[in-house]
Amino acid sequence: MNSTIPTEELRSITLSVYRFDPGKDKKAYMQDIEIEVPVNKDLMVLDALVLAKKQETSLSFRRSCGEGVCGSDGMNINGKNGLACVTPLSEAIKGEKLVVKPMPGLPVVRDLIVDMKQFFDQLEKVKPYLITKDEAPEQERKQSPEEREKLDGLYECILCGCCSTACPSFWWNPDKFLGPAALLQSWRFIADSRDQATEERLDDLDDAFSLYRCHGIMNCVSVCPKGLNPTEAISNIRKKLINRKK
Amino acid sequence: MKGIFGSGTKDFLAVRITALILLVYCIYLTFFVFHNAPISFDVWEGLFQNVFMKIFTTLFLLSFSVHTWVGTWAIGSDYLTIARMGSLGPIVNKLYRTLCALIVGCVTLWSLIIIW
Ligand code: SF4
Ligand code: SF4
Ligand code: FES
Repeated sequence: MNSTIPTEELRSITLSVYRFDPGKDKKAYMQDIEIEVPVNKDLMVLDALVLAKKQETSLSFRRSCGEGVCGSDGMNINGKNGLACVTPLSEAIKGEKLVVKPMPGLPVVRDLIVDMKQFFDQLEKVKPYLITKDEAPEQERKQSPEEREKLDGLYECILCGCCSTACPSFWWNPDKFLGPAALLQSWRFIADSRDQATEERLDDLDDAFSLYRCHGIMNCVSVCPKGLNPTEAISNIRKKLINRKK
Repeated sequence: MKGIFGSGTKDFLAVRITALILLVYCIYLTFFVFHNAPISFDVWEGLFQNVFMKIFTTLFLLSFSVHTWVGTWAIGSDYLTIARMGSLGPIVNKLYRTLCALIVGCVTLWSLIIIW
């Protein structure tokens, strides 16, 4: 039985989905699921997955907001990481087939769901919060509009993991190289005029792996669904490291 | 892992600065060869008799050894690891590093002996 959404003309496409249930399967496999999608209307990849799930109810994936805000449905769509909810089917599909796999490099929990522990462990290392040493002012720590502007392109990260799991350096050393997402957050706090732990933050990054394993391949930039630029953030931190007298 | 020179930044600078020296040397040599083409043995020998060239070549060789030593270490720590090769990783990496040391050491020493 094919699932459809109520609309006029329909066409059939094949969703080739990565399947793995650790309780059942010895090895992962790809499953082809036929779905019907409207001819005159574009869907998002997430909609296609929801249609597929109506047939294959055991198909598992994460999703929440459905509009590119929560960062929970990062996956590998026809070879490129992205958020299923904001990736139009028309852009992603090649021919009549759409191949969907979990984000590469992280352990698969089930089907399209990966274990993000390594990703969040690395984020934790950069202390992604404001560190201050002065006594707290009565009301708030002020920032000029120019200082605030420096955080544009940094604070918008939704921690979807698309960038880090597209980064070969993160695949090779996920426990030592922090990865683009964590490094973008590191720069977000180094660049914050209210933060007072720049030196300590830089000290923590100045080993052979944490930051310097970035080889500037820019996979991270090309996949970020929010259009952010982790490579630039990394190069800003690198400049700071090189220019300080140590 | 603090890196070969004690910090990530020092390793990074070592690789970049030595790369620059290697590049300048190669450009100079290419320019020399084209400028004096067709090159004879005497011209070639004359070039390396020059003290400036001996010092420049020594600098090139030292840069070469630093550059390749740090660079090959980075490659090994990306690919020849437990994560990628299982328990064989560290053993293969040791062998690889020994081979790197032998090649870099021999090439540098041998060349220095020839130059001086
Ligand atoms: S930088 Fe972009 S791709 Fe990376 S985690 Fe943030 S939003 Fe996702
Ligand atoms: S630029 Fe750096 S962080 Fe981004 S994908 Fe490449 S190696 Fe990874
Ligand atoms: S479901 Fe929230 S970002 Fe896609």
